Amino acid sequence: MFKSKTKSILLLGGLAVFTLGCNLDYFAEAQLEEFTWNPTVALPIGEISYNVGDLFRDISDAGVDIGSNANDVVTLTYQEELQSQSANGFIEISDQSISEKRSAGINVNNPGVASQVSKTDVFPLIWNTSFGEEYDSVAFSSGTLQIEMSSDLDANVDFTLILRSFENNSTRVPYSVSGTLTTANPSASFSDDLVKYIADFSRDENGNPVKNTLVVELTYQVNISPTSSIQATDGLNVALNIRQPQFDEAYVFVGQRPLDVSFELVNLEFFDAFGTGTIDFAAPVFRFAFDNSFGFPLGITFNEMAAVTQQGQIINLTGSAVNQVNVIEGPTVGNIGTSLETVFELNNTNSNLADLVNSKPAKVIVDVNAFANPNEAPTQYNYMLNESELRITGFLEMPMIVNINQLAGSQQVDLDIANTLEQANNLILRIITENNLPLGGNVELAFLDNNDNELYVISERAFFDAAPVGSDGRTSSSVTKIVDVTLASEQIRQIENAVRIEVRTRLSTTNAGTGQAVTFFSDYELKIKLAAQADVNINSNGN
Amino acid sequence: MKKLVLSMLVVVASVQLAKSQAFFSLYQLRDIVPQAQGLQPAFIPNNSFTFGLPTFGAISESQFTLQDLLSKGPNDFNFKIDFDVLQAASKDVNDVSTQLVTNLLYMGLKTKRGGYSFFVNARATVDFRYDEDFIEFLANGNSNNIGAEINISNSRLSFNSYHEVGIGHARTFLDKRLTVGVRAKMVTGLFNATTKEGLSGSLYTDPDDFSWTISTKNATVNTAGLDYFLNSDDYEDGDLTDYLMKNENTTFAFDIGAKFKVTNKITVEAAMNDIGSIEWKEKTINYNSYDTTVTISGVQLRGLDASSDVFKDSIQNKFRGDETNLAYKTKLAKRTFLAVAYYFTPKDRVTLMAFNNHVFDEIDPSYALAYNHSVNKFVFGLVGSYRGPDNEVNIGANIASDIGPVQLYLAADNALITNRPERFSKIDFRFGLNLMFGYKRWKAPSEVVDLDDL
Repeated sequence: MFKSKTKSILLLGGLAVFTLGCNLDYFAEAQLEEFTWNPTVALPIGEISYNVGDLFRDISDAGVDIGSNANDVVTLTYQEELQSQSANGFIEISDQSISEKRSAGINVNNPGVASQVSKTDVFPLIWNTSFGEEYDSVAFSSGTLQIEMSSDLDANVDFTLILRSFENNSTRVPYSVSGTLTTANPSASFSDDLVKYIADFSRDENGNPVKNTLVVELTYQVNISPTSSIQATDGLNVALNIRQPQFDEAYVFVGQRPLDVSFELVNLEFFDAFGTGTIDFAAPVFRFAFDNSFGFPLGITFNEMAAVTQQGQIINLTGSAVNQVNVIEGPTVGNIGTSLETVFELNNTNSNLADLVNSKPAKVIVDVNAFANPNEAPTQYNYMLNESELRITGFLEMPMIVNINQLAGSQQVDLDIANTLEQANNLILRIITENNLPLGGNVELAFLDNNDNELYVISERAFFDAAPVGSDGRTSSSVTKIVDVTLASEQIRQIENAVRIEVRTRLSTTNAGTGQAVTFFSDYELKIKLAAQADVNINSNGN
Repeated sequence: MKKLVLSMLVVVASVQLAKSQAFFSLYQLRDIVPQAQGLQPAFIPNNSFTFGLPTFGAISESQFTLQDLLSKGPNDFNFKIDFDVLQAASKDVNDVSTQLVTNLLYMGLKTKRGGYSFFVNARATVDFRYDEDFIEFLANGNSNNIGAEINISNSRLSFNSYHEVGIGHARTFLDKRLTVGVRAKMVTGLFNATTKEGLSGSLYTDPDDFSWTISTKNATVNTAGLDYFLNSDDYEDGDLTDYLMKNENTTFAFDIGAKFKVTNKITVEAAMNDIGSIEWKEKTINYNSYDTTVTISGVQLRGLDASSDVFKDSIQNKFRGDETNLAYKTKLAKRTFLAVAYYFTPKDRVTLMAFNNHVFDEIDPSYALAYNHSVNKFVFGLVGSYRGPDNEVNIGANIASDIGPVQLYLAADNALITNRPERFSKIDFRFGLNLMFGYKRWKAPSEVVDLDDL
């Protein structure tokens, strides 16, 4: 009995101890703090690939087209419309004032009886030219034709004047006027629009081929009165005036008339993108494209071509290309209305162009002698249309066969990373580059505030290495490089206030120190992957 | 007295055998408390008629203690959730398990050869299993696993809520040496969220570019009934009530048990509860992510604008999935009890038990050793358990009266919980009130002589 009670007491006592031994001090008045999660997360951020064009985008923005040539070599091409010469600016038909006195050959003095004498006179008028042009024909687009007839005969004269060389462009009927000149009113004037007519200067009154000649047919009847007094030299005066003539078409040999061709390449800011260091293009080409719709050839020689560097140094173009006459073809009369493009180039074989280009010029001065019908060109029947034009375009082509040595550049990129970095404490920014370009680069990153003050600078370091170049001129393998940039919390806090980042680069091609030029093919690529390992701190408020 | 000391020593020694607990203490109340039939259908109450009032019980256990979950630094006053602390307390595979049981109604009737019962229960279970890699990721991100794989393929989630209405019958055989009990119940599923069988997931971080290779397989979370809460605006008042009262997520389930008196002092017992499955047909939404292996290597930085959105979209777009409304089936969290009881006297019993929760279809039993003593109209006892060398000692206790007509009972596997509860990883209790009638009718003379009473 005693044992049973003992067990009961022990068990109940145990139960009481267990259930009544209450101690909740751990929770007494304590509160649950704001939840924070602070793992260290390694994660990929993203990647971006750069081809050669992307790397040299700055010069692209300055007007340089980045493409590739037939060999898939990346080529920088700068194009500028240099000059255009219109037909009206090249040749103008001057106003004409041509008069011809034709004697009637009548000699009477108070004959006492009335009589009539009829005459027909065909004669040429010579078209005046300024530079010895030889006109065959002209189709006018505007201008005025004036005829003034006058008589010093002491008799009334009935006349008809036909300008055989001026045919109506619709009816093909020659221009003609008729009238009567009296002793009281011995003159008459006529006017018409030139646009109606085509002038033919190529035949004389007998149908023989000539130049600059107008044929006039004058028919008149002299009504002699009984008191008329006429001498043998008296007759009719024909005055032809052409005012402000403009042409649609002019078939005219212009001779070796000069063209005014002189220009400067001034928009060469793209060279500004290349800072210190050198970039030497091995095979630059300057192409001149002449697009000629004049109906005659042109001869071109370089009077002067020179590069003016950013420091003001002048480097003249030299070489065989400087002195030779370059013939610009013109479309023949059988291809009227078309144009012909003639391209000739300056390159390393005919000039020292590489010296000019590699000086990173601020501008290039080009002074050209241009003239029509050069002796070097085959003889060609000349013509011009109103819309005839000579357009000259310059193409500076720089295939990326280059040696780049410590070429510096910089670029500012807007930045808004405050929110992104807000939850980051320590940060390792990992940059992984996979590069098959024969170009290596050191990069310095400067984080700037609104006033371009440097908040923090990640010092210059090699970000990507140049790929080795094989015997075929192509890079033989891709080079991978991993760079870690470690940022402590206080540095991140500095960067948070940055509004832009200045990326300062220093580039060198493979074996740049040896002077080796490497070729950039269009399929080359620099792939940059960004990753980060960051201590993040996220609290229950989502901050 | 020697027996008592010996018994206590056995209890203390036995804690080395235990791994985890699951209403061990309530089990020890056996024929005294009718709610123990929920654990062993072969238990037959000692009285003629029982009317059980609504009761409540809960159990929650994990690999970490409460102070691991709500940790304090050496000089901290407030506590916080610190994944580093949780990670330090974690094992290769970790389970967080919670069960809630509400006995809404119980009626029991004892017969000459056994008994009948009618019961209505509401139950909820949450079982979450996670790998050490999972908590390692929460604590340290992936920084400690660069160039390695974080594998969460052992992670599982099972949340079940249902009510059950059933009848039970227990009958004795072989001159009462053998008792067999069975409970048949109609189960109506209410709410469910379950990861699909075979779920696997891993994250590999590339050592060079930190790119993530994520593999998922069978990444489906099946849910039922949760749409009432997730999209409550889509429903009319009363829809939820109608759903709770009656829906198509019904099934039949069984509890079976038996006990056999090997000798007058030794009894062996076995029970398997919650045999059955719920086929969820109504208000189901299956959130499916297709099997895939994707590599997340960041975004295209050229022309990047609104970076956070682009990042989010780029990741989301890697995964394809859909929502379906297909029926699915979940097994009830089957539970198995095995026990051997040794009666020193008719009033003193030591029980060695094994328990397994089959929630993830695994055999991972836990053990306990219990001592119970009856005195007058009370029974009370202790349960000792220990869940692994890195975890805690639990001492449980139970007490119940059989004086009728009012019975009060209380059972807890971790009775120490009130004394600095932050030290423990398990909390559980069962308590209730029953109205019990007719004890004297079935009171049998003791078959075992209590030497201590002599």
